[in-house]
Amino acid sequence: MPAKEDMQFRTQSHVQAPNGAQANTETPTRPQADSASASRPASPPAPEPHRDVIALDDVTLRYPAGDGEVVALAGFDLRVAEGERVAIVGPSGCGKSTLLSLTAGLLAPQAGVVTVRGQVALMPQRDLLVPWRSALRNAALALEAQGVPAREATERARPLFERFGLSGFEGSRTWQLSGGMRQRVAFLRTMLTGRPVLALDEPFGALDAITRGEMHEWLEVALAGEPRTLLLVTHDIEEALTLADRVVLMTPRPGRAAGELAVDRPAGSTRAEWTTSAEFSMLKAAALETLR
Amino acid sequence: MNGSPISRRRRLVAPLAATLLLVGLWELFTRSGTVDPLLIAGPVDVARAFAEEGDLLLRHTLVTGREALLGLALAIVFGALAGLVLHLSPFLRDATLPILIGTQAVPLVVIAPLLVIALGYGIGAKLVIVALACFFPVAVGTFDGLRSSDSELIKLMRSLGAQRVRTLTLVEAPGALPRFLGGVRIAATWAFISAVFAEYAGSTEGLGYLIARGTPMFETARVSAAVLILAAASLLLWSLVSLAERRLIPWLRHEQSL
Repeated sequence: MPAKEDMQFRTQSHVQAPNGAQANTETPTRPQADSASASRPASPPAPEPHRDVIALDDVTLRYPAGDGEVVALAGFDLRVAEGERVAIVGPSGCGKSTLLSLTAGLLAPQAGVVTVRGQVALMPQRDLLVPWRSALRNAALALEAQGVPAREATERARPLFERFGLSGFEGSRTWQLSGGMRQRVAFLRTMLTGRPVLALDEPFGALDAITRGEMHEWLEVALAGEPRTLLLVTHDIEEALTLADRVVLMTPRPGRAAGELAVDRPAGSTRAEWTTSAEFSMLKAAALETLR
Repeated sequence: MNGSPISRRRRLVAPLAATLLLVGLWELFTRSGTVDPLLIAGPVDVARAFAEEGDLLLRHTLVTGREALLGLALAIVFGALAGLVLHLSPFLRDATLPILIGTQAVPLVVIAPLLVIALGYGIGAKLVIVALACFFPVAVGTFDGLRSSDSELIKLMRSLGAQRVRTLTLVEAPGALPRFLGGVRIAATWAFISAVFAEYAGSTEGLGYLIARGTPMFETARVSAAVLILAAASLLLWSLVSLAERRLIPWLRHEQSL
């Protein structure tokens, strides 16, 4: 398929499925079959109606690059149940970010079906805080984007600062915040959307190892009382094993699932206890072996 | 936050010393007899002109000042609007960009007399001429500023459910402020010069009128005084816009990009 046609197709499907779906409505992004999907089994199994929040069935996504095209994902399957915390781990260029764009409805696949129940809140890799707003008003941007008046959005953001240990930083300017703090504000902005599914794209990738560890502890506390489903994309195996119940390992170009690990972290264990346990080491070794 | 006290003092003292040195050299040159004293006014002559003709100079300065400031205001309003339209409509961008660039290719010196013929000796022609001269940097600054938004940020806004207009008002417009003000700053330096151009083309008052009339009559002291006022006014306007930049976009001093 020529690259130009590809582009048009993608733009078109965009209009059909913009910005994720309404809450509790199923929105399959169902493209017309092309040559790639024609050779595959025609109808993928429908996702279970009440369990799966995210279902990707036999999804293929290509994008034009230079003269040819890059196959970001090829025949990819993924199911995420309500309240589950799933981490996708793989090297750079394995289509992890593409996966998040698909679930957030920012991209439509060339083949296969993406089904998302409820809306997805995307947290990009870079914090993308805007320097003309204070920390509090940066978080409030999530609500203002949806049309909530500025004052009301700010008042609704304020309790979150309290709850997630950011009190006192409400009025901080973005350039006064450390990398970790900026990421926390970006996470609050994501939470504030109120959407049931959080899709985090290498949220702590730019932080140093020590700050990243602190962020993991903070995020665990922040998510403790939250019923939200988490889809975390990362290249850090330890991060995945610390934060997720299930880890999906991916191989690059074209992106395919290479294996899966169930993470049975003992309840009540601290991050230090868990990351130094024998089981953690075994899981890590297994992951590295699969990714090799 | 703005450098050490030493560098701050240097920023004040250095230009002052340089200016004094230049004024001294100027006075020495006029007294050296190289040029006929009738043809050149020294700093002392100019100072005398300020003292004796203060009222006259003030009256004409106010005329030119009003033309420059009102013309600049028009340029800012229409420049910002044009930048916005160019940003929002690819069709209008393609259609009008060559025309906009074309207007910059025609020298103002040529258009100014034509505009005075069309609009008369009043302030109308002056405002149009000043606005034409100052319009372009504001339009380009606004357009570039709106276009400069981080594409990831636009994508985030889209994923948050923001419509086109909200993305514009919440993200693109505030993000365009630095380049918009940069355009205004350039426009501000042209405001007084273009007002003088306009007065040259036909007028009955203003600093340009004083200069145009005074030069052939060897009123060198008065003309030099008028030129000095123009330089000072441009510098003042530049400083005001710079001050506005510092107040409105404090983050530029702290980080280069988002």
